[in-house]
Amino acid sequence: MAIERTGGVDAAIDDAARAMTAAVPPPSLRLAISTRVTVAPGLGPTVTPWLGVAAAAIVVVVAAVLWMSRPSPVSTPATGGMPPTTAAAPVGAAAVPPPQVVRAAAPVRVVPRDSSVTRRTAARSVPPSTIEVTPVAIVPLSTEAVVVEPVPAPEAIEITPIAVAPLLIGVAGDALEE
Amino acid sequence: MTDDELVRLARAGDVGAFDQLVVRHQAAVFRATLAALRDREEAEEAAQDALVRAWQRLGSFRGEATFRTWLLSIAWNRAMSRRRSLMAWFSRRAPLAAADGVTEDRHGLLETLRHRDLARHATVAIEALSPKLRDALLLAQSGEYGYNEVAGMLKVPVGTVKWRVSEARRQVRQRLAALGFMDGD
Repeated sequence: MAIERTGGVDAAIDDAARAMTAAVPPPSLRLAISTRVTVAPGLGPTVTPWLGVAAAAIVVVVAAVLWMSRPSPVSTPATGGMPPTTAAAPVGAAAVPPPQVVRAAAPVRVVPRDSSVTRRTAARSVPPSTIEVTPVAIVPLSTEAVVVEPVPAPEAIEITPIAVAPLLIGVAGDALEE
Repeated sequence: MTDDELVRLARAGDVGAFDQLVVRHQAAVFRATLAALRDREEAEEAAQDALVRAWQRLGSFRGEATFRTWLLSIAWNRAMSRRRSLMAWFSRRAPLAAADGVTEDRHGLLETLRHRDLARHATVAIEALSPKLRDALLLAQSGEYGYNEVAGMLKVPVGTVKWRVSEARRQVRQRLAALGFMDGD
């Protein structure tokens, strides 16, 4: 130890500190540990890495499923303006003009995808028809009210200045020349 | 057989090899938990938890430090966790008392002051130290660990450990002097 004793008090401190931790571990400690280790061998060091790998694999699979099930950004705007009956074949509709051919090709492209995607896009096509009604009704009401008001104002202002101005100039000029 | 060899066998699932490691290091683990908890039963439970946890986490031991250092670090962490929960329990039991008063009353400082026994008073004075100073003093003076090991357990530099030990001794000496115990007694 680096600490040197300077007297009886320091010696007493050292002895007291040593005595406070001077204890032999009880025999039950080793028995309890061996029991807990052998009773639950599945938690041992050989199994723990495999548990970690399995947990990581589960996380990856769940993340992949969630990523696959989200709606694709390409199909969403295409179905917005389309009626619900044609929402299942948004890609093939623009390329092939005849309607009968489109219906034949559409199921082939939809099959590999998750059925939940088509249900979601069909449900989204309903709200836009209700949203378009409200802004059309507001615009014409505001423009009619603005046009009516400025018409009567200019007629009332033109009457007063015409009668006053010629009377004052004529009297003052005659008086000065005389 | 060295610790490294036993660790290698234990990693492969050899319970007997781990038992050998327990036999070698259980005293050091138990002393560390006893220094932290100051109660034999609590120390035994903490030591048991630490050794079982070491078995469970043996796969994460990379050999950067010695097995003993790694094990003592686990033991000290388990003891600290248990001590925090015990302190929380004590604080709920005596919420109106000041912290210093609780510590001194709990360890019976006022009662033991009646005894004119230097060793007993030294023990009481050590108990009354702050946890940081007391931990450093008990671990360093136990004779079981070097300063490097103490620093590893407490997660502080070696110089900090030495300062804490010196400060702990100064405070204990000061308390004993106030009771009439001077150098040379």
